[in-house]
Amino acid sequence: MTDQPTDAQWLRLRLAELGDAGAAGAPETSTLRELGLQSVDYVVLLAEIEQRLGVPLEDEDLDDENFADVRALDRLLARVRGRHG
Amino acid sequence: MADLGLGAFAACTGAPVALGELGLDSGAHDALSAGGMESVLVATRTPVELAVTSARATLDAAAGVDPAQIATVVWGTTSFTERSWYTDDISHAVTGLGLGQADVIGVTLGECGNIGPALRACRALVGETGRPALLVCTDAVRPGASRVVAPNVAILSDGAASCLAGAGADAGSVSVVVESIGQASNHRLRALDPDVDGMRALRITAKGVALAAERALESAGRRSAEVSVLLLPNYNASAQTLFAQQCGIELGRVRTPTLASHAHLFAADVLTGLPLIAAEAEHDAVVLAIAAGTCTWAGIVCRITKGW
Repeated sequence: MTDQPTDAQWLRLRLAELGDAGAAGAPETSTLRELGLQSVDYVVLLAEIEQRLGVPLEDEDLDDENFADVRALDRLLARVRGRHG
Repeated sequence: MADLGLGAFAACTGAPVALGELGLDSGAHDALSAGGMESVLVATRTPVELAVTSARATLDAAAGVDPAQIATVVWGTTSFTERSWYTDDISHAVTGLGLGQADVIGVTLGECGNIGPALRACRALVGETGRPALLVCTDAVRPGASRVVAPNVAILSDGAASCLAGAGADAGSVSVVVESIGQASNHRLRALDPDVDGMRALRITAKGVALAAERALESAGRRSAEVSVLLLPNYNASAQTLFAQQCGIELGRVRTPTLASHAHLFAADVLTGLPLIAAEAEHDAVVLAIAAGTCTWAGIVCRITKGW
């Protein structure tokens, strides 16, 4: 049996692949731009989050501040997961 | 929907200028060059003059087609608002091409997505008249305007591209058959400030691309797995990833054959890319082409043919 990555682990893996600055050891306050992501990459990530969680994000989830840094994204994933049980 | 044949592709563009000579800020330069753009095409001639040269080359390439048989000219451009470029009535241009009795129909409000409604107009008009149409898309960056497409996804070039559209051999040497055109629009995007609502704006764009692709594939009775080539606008790698994701097609099938040489040629990206794809693809290969305006997106399902 393979351990599934937690949301936080998955998020850092995806950020590392989408960016070019390496997200593995990056502080939680690192902005996505500091991790090498361009704004268009954010939408790619957004779609992947929806796919992982199995639910569409709602309008309130699309505030730019939710994509400001790694910590904000951690909170977003937790909030959406909590909302849908 | 009846198939529409495209042939006798031609283009007339400005002269290449290296990205490094444009005085871009380092962020824009790095994002664009990392995305594969090397130069932009800068024209001193107006979009009308570029279109006439391209259209003449199309007519020359379709040597077997009598210009008198061409019933319609579909003229795609987002530049009609620049009146200095259109002070000389466009009638003089078509008369000079020997098309003085063709109906000229302008397609303009879809911006870089104009190729979608332009092809829809061609399909309807060819079906109605039973005669071929000349399609030309032509644009240039307005004097003093920035060439960079925010957020650093592309840089605009000046140029025109054209082809004949017809129901059969009357379109000359057909190399592309358009099976379907899907269009999606969301004009609410214009009201969003990308500096404040960046995610919402990009999300609308992503949904528009997805919807246009879905409508085109559904109308053609095709699945995304049948698509051999996803022909995207000449945007950078991040935008290509986003568009491919929204179309449900892996990045390995994405092609932008004129990206390095042409940069983003407004609505003409599709018309300059298709003949190159046609030359290298196998007979019956299926191509999904995507075009994107600010608020309008188009998906075009084509089949490459080596003889129609």
